Amino acid sequence: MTPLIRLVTRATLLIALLTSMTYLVGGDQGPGDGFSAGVVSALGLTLQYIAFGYHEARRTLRRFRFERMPPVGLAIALLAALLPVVTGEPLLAILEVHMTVPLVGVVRLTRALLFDVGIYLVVGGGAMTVIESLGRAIA
Amino acid sequence: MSHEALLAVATIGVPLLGTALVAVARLLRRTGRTFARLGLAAATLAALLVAWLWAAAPRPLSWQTGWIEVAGIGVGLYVDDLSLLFAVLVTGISLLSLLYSLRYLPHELEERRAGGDEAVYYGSMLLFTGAMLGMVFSGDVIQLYVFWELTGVASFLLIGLHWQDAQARAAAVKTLLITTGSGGLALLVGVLLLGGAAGTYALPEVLARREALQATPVFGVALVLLLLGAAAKSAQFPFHVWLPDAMIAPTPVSAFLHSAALVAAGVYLLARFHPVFAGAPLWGWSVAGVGVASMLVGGILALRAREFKALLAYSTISQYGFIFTLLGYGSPEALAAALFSFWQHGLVKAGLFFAAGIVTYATGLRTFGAAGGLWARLPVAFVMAATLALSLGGVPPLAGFWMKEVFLGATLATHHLALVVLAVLAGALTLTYMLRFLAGAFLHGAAPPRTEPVPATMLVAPGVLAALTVLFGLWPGLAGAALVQPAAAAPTGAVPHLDLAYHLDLRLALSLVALGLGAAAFLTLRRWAALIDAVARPAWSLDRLYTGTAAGVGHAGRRALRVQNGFLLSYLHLTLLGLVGLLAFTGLFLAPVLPVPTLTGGAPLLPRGPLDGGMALLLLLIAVGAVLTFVIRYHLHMILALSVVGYVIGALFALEFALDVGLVQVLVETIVAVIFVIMLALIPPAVRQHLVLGPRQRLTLVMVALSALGGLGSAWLSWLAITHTPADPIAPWFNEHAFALTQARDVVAAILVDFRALDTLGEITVFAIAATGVYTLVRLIRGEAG
Repeated sequence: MTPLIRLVTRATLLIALLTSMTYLVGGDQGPGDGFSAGVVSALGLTLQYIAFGYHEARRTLRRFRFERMPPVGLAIALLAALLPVVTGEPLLAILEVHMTVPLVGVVRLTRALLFDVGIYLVVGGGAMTVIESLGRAIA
Repeated sequence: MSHEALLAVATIGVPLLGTALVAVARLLRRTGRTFARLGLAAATLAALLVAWLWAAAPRPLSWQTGWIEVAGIGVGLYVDDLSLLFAVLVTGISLLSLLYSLRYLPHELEERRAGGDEAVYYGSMLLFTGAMLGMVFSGDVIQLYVFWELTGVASFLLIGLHWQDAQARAAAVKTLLITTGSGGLALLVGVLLLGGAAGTYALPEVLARREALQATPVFGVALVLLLLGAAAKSAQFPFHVWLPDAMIAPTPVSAFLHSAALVAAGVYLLARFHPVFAGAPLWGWSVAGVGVASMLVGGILALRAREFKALLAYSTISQYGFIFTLLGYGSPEALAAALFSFWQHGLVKAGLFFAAGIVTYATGLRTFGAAGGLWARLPVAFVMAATLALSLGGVPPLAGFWMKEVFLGATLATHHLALVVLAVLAGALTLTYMLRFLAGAFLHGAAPPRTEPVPATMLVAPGVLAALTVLFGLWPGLAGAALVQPAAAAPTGAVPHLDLAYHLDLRLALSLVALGLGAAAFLTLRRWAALIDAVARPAWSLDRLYTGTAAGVGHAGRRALRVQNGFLLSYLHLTLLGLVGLLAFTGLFLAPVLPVPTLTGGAPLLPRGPLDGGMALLLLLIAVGAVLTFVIRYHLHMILALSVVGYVIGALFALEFALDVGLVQVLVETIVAVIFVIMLALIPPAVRQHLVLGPRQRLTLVMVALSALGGLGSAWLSWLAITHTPADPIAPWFNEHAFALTQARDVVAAILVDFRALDTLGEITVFAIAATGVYTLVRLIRGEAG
């Protein structure tokens, strides 16, 4: 494996993760959403496995416990779904707060965004769980 | 919400909170002592709260609020003297059981070593206490049903405590299937019918619409369904078969759930709806019929039981038979007698279980014949057991005597000679089997060589209950006036008469005859063995009916599983068959009768003007890709051809300004292709070679026909979908309101996470389960799971 391929593969992961963040945060204003963000992240990570082989990629990414992400994501999505209930609104009602952050300006946080983070973790983590599990079987 | 209502909610909440705390303590890896302390603290607090409610709460304490408002279902409280009678017994025995468990449970866990867990035990006991309180305080019939089932769940966990023991698991499942699976479902349908007929599920209002309910056609059906639920829960004939098996649970569980509380749920249900149903003739013969049958069957089987606890279980079946019979009589006096019996029986039977537990604790023995002669070794326990056993047997001046007296009194009031004879017989049986219990456990035979000393905390519970049975025997009016008569008066408001005094009359004479018969039968018990066996045999066959049914269902399930044979081709056949069947059914039968006004009037999407060159090229590519997938034999190329189809569809979406959908299509296509390739690598090389180079598989006529029909059907559906647009489509609403409501410029995003977020939640749940399933399966196959 040439250093160039290494570099490109690593850079692609970075780009994929950045792209997925854009999709995740800007999903309500343009293309993309939590689902596509999850798949893009998973594709970026999958590329590491394809380029470096299962074992080396696993060593680099050992901090990621993909199989834990779907339940965590599901819990976050449920939490987001229940959030409006606290204020007496129905389940999954539209909810948003505006916060002023120094140097950044007004930041708009919505219940939908938290819900999307849950979707992101379920989809990205779930796809990686499947690929990781099957990949290990052929490694 | 008044202070009293808040405290009533707290009473239900305290034990449930205790369950949660036990769970947290378990996560923090605390020891058994912590769980026991939490259990005792929660049970004490609940008992104090109930005592406070009994002393100070207004009757009835009623409070309602909405829950599932679309269906008219609410939650609420309804606390009157009837609820409090049950609540006092439940919290009292709960406290005594947990106190008894302090030393008993570690001993039993040590002895059995079958996976029992103290956290599960204390958590479930508290869950059960909370569920019982929630049930008797329910202000809504649906809520009542929910708590009713919750008691069944706690019972399941406690019977199956020693889960490594196959017998315990089977008993837990049996209980769950009979009390929850059959009885609970019957109750659910029953309360739905009642609520539907009354027009409300709120308990006070259902009870208030007595006359209206009696006139509805569902009245009889609801009555039978409620009776089925109650009979299954209270282990009445013919559902009684679960109770003896449930005795595999630890002894305090038997003392609490299976003598005083869980089985009491059925009595509570019938007593609660007594004013609605009691006037009906159907009520009289069905409830009293179940009661008389249980009274006799339980009594006879108790004479044959081999284990102490099994004898007590059959005796519970029999004694609840007395209570059901009294409920069936229907008069307010009989209701008062039923509640009096329920109360006295709960105290006495729990005490007897505690005494049986002491014998097992001291000797490790559970069966008659093995243990014996213990009266000198365990003198204190023997005195307590003797008091309690003679009390239940109906010997004056103990509380059980008054149970038999009020039963005989109510039976004499019906003026049925046959019932009076059966009542005397059942009373005699009670004394016979209680003497058998006492003699078998404490008197007959030689004592075992070694007995363990019994700790003082284990003597508290049976001691208190034995003392109470003497107290209520000498002054029967104490419990009657303070608890039972107000409870019996709660439904109607009129205080029924409960005759608790000695009179030289027929009632007393019959009582003495029953005692004489019982004692005589016990002394000559050996001579009756053949007769008892002959009578008992048909009753055993009910147990075989359960076993047979359960085995039959299991067999049918395994047959159905053969559909899952692991061959993709047969799955494909079944899927296509289902699709074709569904389409045929819709096209032939449903379409002519279905009203379709919503599918007309909108402008059709096709034709939409001339096709441009680029679009035509893309469509052609899709067709080529699709044809290639089944011409190509090499699987990697096949996957690539499929991917071409997917990508081009993505491009089509993008051209149609559905950027989001196009993006998702391309991404999913990519990741699916990757997974496909990995799957291909998982197929062993020899098999893969054979698939490519071996002879082509012959296509059968069925396969061709199914594929053609499935394809044509799908095409037909697609065609219908694009040529028929709804008259009142929802899409414009989304377009108009997306930005205004959610500030999202991307309508797809607004639909996914806001307008249709509930669907999305369901979909990600499925996705998470599927991913976890793959993970688990692969680990299982590779032998890593453990």
